[in-house]
Amino acid sequence: MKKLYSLTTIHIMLISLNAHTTNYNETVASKLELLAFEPEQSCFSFYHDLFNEYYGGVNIGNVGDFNGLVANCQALFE
Amino acid sequence: MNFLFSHNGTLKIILCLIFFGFFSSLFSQTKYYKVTYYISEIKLHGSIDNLDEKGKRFTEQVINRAKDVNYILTTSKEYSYFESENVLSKVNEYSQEHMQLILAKRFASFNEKVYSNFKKDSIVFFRNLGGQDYVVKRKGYVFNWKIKKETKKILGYDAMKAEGRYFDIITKEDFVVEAWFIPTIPIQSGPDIFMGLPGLIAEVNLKGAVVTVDKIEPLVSVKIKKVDESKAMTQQEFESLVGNLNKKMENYIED
Repeated sequence: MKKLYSLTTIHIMLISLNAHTTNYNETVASKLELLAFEPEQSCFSFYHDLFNEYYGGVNIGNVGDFNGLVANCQALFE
Repeated sequence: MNFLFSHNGTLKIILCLIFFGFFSSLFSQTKYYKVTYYISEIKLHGSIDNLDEKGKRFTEQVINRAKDVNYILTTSKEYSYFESENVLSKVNEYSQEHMQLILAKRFASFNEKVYSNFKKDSIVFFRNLGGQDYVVKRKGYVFNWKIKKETKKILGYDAMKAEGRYFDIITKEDFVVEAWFIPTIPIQSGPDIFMGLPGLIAEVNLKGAVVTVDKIEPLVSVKIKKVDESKAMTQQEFESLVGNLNKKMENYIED
């Protein structure tokens, strides 16, 4: 569970680190919106499992897609 | 009767000469190519057997969907521009098809766009890291290609095999890449960052996918798209950024 919580916060951390190149406030606000879900929800674990089997896990290259997919999945099914 | 046969034979030879003459003149004028690639095979890092029933069904759909992911390369001997065809805009953002296309695209792990200037040995690529887009300008990758003896037909062209190596700074892994190139199309382009062979790359066998040429269109003229590189970071800056992001991610996963 701790790991799941950690993963949900990774993107926020990455955005903070990258903020110097773009409009900081706008980016963080939009990404926080995307991350507004409960970590124990099934869309998160569904995609987490897929990313592990497909690409060997979530990394900095695919975390953007991961967050977008979870958010879209929730909009559809949860 | 004999006369008719011999007459027909002569006619056939003349028609063949006209046909070959037409095509050789077309190819001699050819300075540009529009090349379409598709994901011909995806390779899972793990196994589909580790997924539940819902995951297995979904994965089969992702594998089928991969064939719809196309990439377009426009190239001359001097420049090239590569990007994925915008299939995502054609489907509803909240549909399963959209989600599956995103997953399928990720297997090739290509950059969003790549512009190459072969004369200056430079490339500009657009990469999304952590949900953020970056532009990087650097020298062309060095793959240390080794040309092998194996050949095969791809789209009717004779293609030769080559093997190269490169280090992926994002996953911090050294990869072997297998490429099949067409010596009769003497253009050093290929999909994404893969280039530098004495012929157009028709297929690349990567860690996560095999990407194969679907169509090669010789063109007499075409405008090769240029990219805005005014905000491009250097390779050194990019490596430093990737290092920082990776460190942050590792720390979080360890915690």
